[in-house]
Amino acid sequence: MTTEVAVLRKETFAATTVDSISDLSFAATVFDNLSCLTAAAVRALADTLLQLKRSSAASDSLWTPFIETRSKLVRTIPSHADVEEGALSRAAGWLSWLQESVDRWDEPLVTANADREVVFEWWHSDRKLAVFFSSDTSELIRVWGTDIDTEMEEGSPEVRDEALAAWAWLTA
Amino acid sequence: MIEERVGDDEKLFRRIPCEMGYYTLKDGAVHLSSSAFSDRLKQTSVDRSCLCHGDPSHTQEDPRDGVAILVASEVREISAKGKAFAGGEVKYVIDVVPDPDYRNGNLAHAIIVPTPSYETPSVYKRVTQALARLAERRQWAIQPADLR
Repeated sequence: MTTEVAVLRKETFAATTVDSISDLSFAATVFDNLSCLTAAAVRALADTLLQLKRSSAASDSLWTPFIETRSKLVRTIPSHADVEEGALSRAAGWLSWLQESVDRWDEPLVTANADREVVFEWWHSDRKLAVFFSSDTSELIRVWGTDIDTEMEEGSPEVRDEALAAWAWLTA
Repeated sequence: MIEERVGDDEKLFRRIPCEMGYYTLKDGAVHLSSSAFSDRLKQTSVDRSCLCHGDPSHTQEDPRDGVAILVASEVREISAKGKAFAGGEVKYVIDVVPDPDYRNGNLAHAIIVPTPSYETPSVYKRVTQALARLAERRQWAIQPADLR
């Protein structure tokens, strides 16, 4: 278990007693020993705590991979990239689910686009899978050429069968 | 005098900022993220090679930046359909048009724009996929510092 997750575990329990968990100063206090985190990352982790508070029924085994994935994303996306905070949570939740759902895993290229979305991209041979998360929408695009009408196909990553079918297509 | 129309054979330079992680190396090939071609106004910016003496360093903001190449005719071949708000389908024509930036002295500036304007964001997402793929097919004008 990483130090960061250990800290999150400990502080999450304490945090459940705090009414305004989205208070950034509180979050900063919680994470002030994690010097690698930027202000944006602190905000993102505050959002994580909020989500955990809302889903207190979630077991450790469910939320630990989520936190680990999210923390990884926070570090992967350049600190100066402008990403919606909610997008990071949704994207991390989806990515940790996908990683646990497929047999052959490959790390995506993680970026932020001009619309402040988190973007995951994978390439395999001539095929590419791109997945976009904003704070309230998500989109999946399969790409196998430059013709937008005949060589790209859209889908919804949060429809699990669609996401798994897209992954199977990518890695076939 | 700036040509009113970007010629079909014109090369276009697109800056790939070094610090944004917009590319990856896999199986010996460099792959470009569609994020490298996204723009808040959905008008991807480029510089016309012929108006900056063919010098891609004109497009860099940081010496570590990469500069990717697009060709106007290939950009114009991108055609896209999308759902219209009013129902049915919209057919978009993608063009590269001059957009000289007089304030910053960049007369080579041009933008990639649709006609009509995009009605939904998803169409622009697919356009950026196409732009990334077109750029991948060409050599870098300048490789990003960590690939040199």
